[in-house]
Parts: sequence; structure tokens; C-alpha cells
Amino acid sequence: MSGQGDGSGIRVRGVHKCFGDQVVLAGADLDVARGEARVILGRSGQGKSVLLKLIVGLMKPDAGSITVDGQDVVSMRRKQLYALRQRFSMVFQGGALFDSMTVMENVSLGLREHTKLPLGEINRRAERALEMVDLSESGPKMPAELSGGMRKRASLARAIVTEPEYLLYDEPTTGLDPITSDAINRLIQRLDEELGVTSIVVTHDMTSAFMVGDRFGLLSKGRFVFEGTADEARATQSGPMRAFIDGDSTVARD
Amino acid sequence: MLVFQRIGATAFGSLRDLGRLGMLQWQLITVLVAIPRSLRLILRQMYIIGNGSIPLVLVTSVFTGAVATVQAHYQFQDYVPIRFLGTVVAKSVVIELGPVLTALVVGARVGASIAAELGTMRVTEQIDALEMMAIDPVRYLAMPRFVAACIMLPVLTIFSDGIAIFGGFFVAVQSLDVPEKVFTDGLRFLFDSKDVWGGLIKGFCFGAIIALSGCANGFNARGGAAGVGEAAMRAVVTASLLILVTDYVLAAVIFQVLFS
Repeated sequence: MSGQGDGSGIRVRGVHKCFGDQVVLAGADLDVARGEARVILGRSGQGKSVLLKLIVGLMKPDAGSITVDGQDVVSMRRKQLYALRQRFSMVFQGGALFDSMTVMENVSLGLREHTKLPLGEINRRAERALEMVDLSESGPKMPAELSGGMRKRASLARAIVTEPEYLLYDEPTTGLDPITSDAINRLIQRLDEELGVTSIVVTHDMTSAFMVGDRFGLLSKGRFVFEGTADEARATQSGPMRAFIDGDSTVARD
Repeated sequence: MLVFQRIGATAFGSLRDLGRLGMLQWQLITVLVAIPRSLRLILRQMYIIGNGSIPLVLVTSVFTGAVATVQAHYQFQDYVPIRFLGTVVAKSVVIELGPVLTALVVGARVGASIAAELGTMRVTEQIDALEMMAIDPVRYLAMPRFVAACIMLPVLTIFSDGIAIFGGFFVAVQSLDVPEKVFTDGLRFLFDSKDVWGGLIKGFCFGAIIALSGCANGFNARGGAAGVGEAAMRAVVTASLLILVTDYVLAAVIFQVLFS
């Protein structure tokens, strides 16, 4: 893990975001060092997904600053944002596969658009990505023919094929059965180890969190109310983090 | 008060819609340089918009020509010589009926389908996914549809002109007992290629309106299935109204200024 002093990694300071009257983020701070696997926990509607979208400039914050490797994301123009996003990949909650394309076309699109690689090489890399997520047979299928777990895995293959430096996961295991969830978690672990990416995993699935995360942050009412390593999270005896781990609604409500 | 609030909200909504069309138009112009690398996407859209609309335009045009002929024949009575029947049918079809009716039916079909497709992509985060992959949705999704519609609407208009005139001819000869030669001589009489060009310019502009309206409403869809339905409806309403308003403006510009 590299330090934060040199400005590398992701740094979020005092970010506010409202939708109408609804305050989603109210001064959230976050530091993610290069190579780290950060888990962002929180109940539904606490602004976890919004935070991911703010980091890559898909949304603009109402106040606060966001930097990636020292570059200010908030003030970036479209062209700079696109350059930044080529170093990122995101696995969306519902997969967000392009449903007018086959799985193979979905996975290879990023390479076709952004590299001048010959088609054979692009297909080879896409096949390798599909192999990593155990979907080598599903290349010619349309997304509508896939199950929920397969869609998530295809989305993962699309995310890794461009070999990003940062991988953002928006609830990668939500709505999946325990076995498929476990397979996805192992895959995320493997990608972290093999590709050495910096990842942010937004989730409310504790099993998943403990499997994939180095450091934890708990988001509540628009701020981080817990920051620490996986062991520290596990060791907490009281407070919102303990309540979240135990699923205790009497404490977690406030 | 409530009435005024509603009127205000509707007016504001319409202005906002127009503003979105204008903004998208501007963004589209800036990505037109990417046409050469998007040929495959454009051809695919040309096929969907053009070939897919042929049955609809065929039926619409046959009956348009037939009705124009029957009505003109009825209006002529004994006051206007029947040799002008072909002339009137050809002029009204080529200048007005062909381009406008084609645009209205194709607008409903294509505008709604573009808005529903892009709207679904918006609400299922597929457009965010494109943005995330650093692929400009305006360049990748809107531009091919825009270019394809601008090319295919004039093509469909020509097709519609031919079919409508044939429909008129068929009705005139078969049911109104007009001799073939009288009708075809009428067609040739006063025929001016400027009329056809005028109709094609209209088709081009209507194609732009249809694609813009579909794309702008699709991109701005919010909130699940209901939002997608709303986007499709707005796309058709906006396109239809703009086609009719633009038709008037173009009539004035093309036939009174450009070709006069």
C-alpha cells in the first residue's frame, strides 16, 4: 500500500450531494490508497452508489473535493474525464450489460473503441476475460439469456478486459444466491491479487465485505461513521459498526 | 390559481424540452467528425429506420394518393377540366402530403422506438456504463440515429411520392374512369423538379427532428418503466408538433424565398 502523502489514490474531502430536499452525502471523507481493497458499507439509500459515481465524475458534488492521483475530478472537462475513466472500470449493480449486443461484443467494446489492436487480439483478450469469470461458453449469447449471476460475471469480464488501475463494484453480490455470491467474492479476491488493482466495493453483504476488503468504511447519514481495517471492524464491541455487523436495527436506526 | 400553475408548468416543460433538443443538436454537430469511424453503426440504423418503415409508408402512401385523387375529382365537379387531376395529385403529394405524412408516421414509429430504447438504457445504467467506458453516448448512440434518420427520411419521402402517385393513378383509372393518358399527361403538365427537391429538403429536416426528439427524450428518461413510457410519448408528441410547425416555416423559406 502506498501512502497518501504523495497524492496517489483516491481522496474525497467534505463531499455534499443532495437530490431535491434529500441530503445523500453530508461531508463524506474517504482515502483509498493505491493497491488497497476498500469496502464501503452502509444501509440502502445511504449514498454509497452516489459516492462511486462522484469519484468518476458521472455526477458532480454540490460541495467538496475529489482527487484521483492528485488530479481534481470535480473541475475536469469531458475530455479529461474520459481520459481518467479509461483507467477505471465499474461493475454496475444490475450489470448494465448492453442488451443489444452479445456478451462477447459487450466485453470487447472497450478494446474496440479505445485501442488499435487487431480484431484477433481483441477477441483473444475478451475470451480470456470471459474465461476468468467462467463464462467462456456464453460469448455468443445475448444478455437476456443469462441468469443474474452470469450477468454480474459478464459485467466483471467487461470491467477487467481493459486492465484498469481502479475497479469499482456497486453491490456485486446483491440479489445472488450464497453459492454464486461466494464465487463472485473469490473472483474479486483473485482479481485483486492477480491484477493488483485498487478496488472499492460498495456492499451491505458482510460475508462479501470480510472476504474481499482490506479496509472498511461505514457510511451513515451522509458521513463515514467508521474507518478501519477488517480486523478492527471485527473487533469493535459497540457503535454503528457492531450494529451493522450484527444486523441490530435498534442501534443502527440512529 | 391552480389553472395558471398548470399552464405555467406546461409552458416551462415545453421550453425545457426545446432547450434539450437545442443542446443535443449542438453536441451532435460537434461529434459529426466521427462519422467515418461510425459507418457500421450508421448503416445499421439506416436499415432499422429505412427498411423497417417501408410497409408502414407503403400503406400510408397508397391511401394518401387514393384519397387525394378522389377528393380532387369530387372538388373539380364540372368546373375544372379533368386533365388537371394528375397535376393536382402530383403537386400536392410531392410538395406536401408525401413528406409530411411520411414524417408523421415514421416519426411515431422511429421516434418512440429510439426514445424507448435509449430510455431503457438510461434507467438500466447502460448509458452510465458507456460513460464509464469513456464512450460518448452522443457519439455512439445519438449520432448514428441522427445521421441515419436525416438520410433515410428523404429516401422514404421519394418512395412515398412514387407510391402515392401510383395509388392516385390506380384509383383514377379503376374507379373514377379517368383515361390513363389524361391522368399521366396531367402528371407531366406543370411538373417541376424543384417541387421534388423542396419535399426532399423537408424530409431531411423532419428526419433530424425525429431523431433529435427521440434521443433527447430517451437520454432524459427517469424512473423505470413508467419513465420510459413517458419518454416515448413525449418523443412522439414533440416530433409531431415540431414537424407541423417546421413544415410551415420550410414552406415559407423553400418555396417563397429559395425557389422563387
